[in-house]
Amino acid sequence: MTSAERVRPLTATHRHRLGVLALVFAAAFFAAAALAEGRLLFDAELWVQQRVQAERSPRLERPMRVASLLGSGGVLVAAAAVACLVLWRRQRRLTLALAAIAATGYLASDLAKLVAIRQRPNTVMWAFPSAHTFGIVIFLGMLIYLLWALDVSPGRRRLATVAGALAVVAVAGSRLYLNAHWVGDVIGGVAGGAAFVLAGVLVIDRRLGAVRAGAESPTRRLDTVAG
Amino acid sequence: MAEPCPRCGRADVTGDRCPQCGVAVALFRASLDKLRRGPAAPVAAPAPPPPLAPPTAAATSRRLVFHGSGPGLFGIQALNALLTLLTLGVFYFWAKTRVRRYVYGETELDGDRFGYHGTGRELLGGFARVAAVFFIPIALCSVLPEVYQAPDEVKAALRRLLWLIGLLLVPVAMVGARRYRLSRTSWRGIRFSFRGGVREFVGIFVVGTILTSLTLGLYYPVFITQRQAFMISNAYFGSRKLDFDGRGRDLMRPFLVMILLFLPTLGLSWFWFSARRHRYFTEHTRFGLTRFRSSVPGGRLAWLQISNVVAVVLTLGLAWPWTVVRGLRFTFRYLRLDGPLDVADVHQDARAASATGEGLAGLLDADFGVS
Repeated sequence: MTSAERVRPLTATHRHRLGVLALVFAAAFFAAAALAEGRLLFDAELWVQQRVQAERSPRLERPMRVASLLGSGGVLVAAAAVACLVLWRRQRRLTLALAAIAATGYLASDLAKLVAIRQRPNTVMWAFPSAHTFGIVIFLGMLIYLLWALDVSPGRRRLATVAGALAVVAVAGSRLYLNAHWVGDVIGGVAGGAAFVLAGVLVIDRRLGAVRAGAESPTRRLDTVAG
Repeated sequence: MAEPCPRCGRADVTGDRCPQCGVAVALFRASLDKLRRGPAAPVAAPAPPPPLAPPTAAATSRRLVFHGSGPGLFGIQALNALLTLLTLGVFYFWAKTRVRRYVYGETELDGDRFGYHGTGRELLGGFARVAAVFFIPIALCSVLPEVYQAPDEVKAALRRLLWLIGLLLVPVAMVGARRYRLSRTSWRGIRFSFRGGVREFVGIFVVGTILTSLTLGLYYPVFITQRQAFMISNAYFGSRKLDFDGRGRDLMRPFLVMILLFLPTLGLSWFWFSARRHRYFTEHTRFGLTRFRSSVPGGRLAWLQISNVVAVVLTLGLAWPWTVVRGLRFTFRYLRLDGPLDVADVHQDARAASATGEGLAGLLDADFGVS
């Protein structure tokens, strides 16, 4: 690892907190899945769906479709690819990790659909969890981690976090508005995506930490001197 | 004027909200309508309750479409198998429900998907009731005479009694399973139901079984047609009944031809009879002005069924999801609904049904072809 590739490591406290948060989100995801599968909160979900659908107007259709597009697989994969291209020269390992998270996240959002089998409000299958929300949360999580790991100034980080959070809210809201999901699916998407990205960040940090440790080990230093 | 609730079917809803399920009636109707019209259509205030579907004046042809895929069903089955193992079999009932939800939810007619509303807990309850009421006493009747070395006459009498009980339980299970499944099936928010009496079907079944045995199988076409007539003509979609006007004697000739050709064709003539029976049953089924049609060819049915069995055996069961999907796509490819599908005057008329019959069908390990 060259000096240009150095990324800020997580402290033990960070790792502990992120681990606990990942477990909490994973538990929330499975709880939401159980509620969805058993239709235990269906009346509440129906109530939300009715209220949202009652507010539909032609003026909002296009903005909502655009917002929904932000969380679609095509846009997220394209955005991740652009981020990888930008980072590739300076942060190869981090770029590869980002690509791995994007690919496994895409796969995970599909596999997560097997956890609860139910129909969407528009009767199409695979309602839970909302893959759009799942995907945008992973993207936002990775963005926050990247900015933090690359030591970007706190002001910019805050700006990116707020913009990302707004994107998550827009995507989640648009999925409800477009009658593509129940509110439980969207909550499941947020929880599942958050659990996945937190676990992903922990894995990346551990892998990069191992590489750092390898780079700084005495044998490696001797090899470098001998070379 | 009192109207039925569009969600739960309660008949006497006079206010804005249904006193039973609490749904805002006008809002619910408007959202259903929006769902059907799609998001691009202009949105109107949720004022007059719209019809369930625009009545079609001209006679048209509709098809059922299955959107599911082998990998999708395989994923569900894989997780089901894992959870069933981890829970020592308890998850089996939820697994069954998940597969049905998937299959029904991926089946579309006229732009809307079917829905399955059964739950694993209901199936578990049904199974527990059946086990307590039927299975344990029957098991005791079979085991106790052996344990206490009862006289041979007693054992023979008990065997006959058990056979008789079995003969009676099969039709009870068939009706119960059909009642349960239809009551948990919906299309466009309207539930199906089954209103046939158990006693009537037990009569058809027992008489049919005995006559089929006495006539060395010649009564079989009449028997299966009577069974089909009972199962179809007692089925309802909301408040409207399905009709069946087939007669058993119409299948007698194809059945005799099948028997004559059975040995020369090494049993393959069965598939041609099976396809003929399927076409006949389908073509004699009506829903209002809509008549069902099927053009399933015998050769293709034979190929489908034989290749499915071979695939399941060779893959040790792993190909099962693909065979299910293949079977459904095959059936729907040759099935169509002719005539106007006017469901505007169909209203919710759901009937309660317990899962006991379904549990009995599960315990007897028989699907009975009534799904």
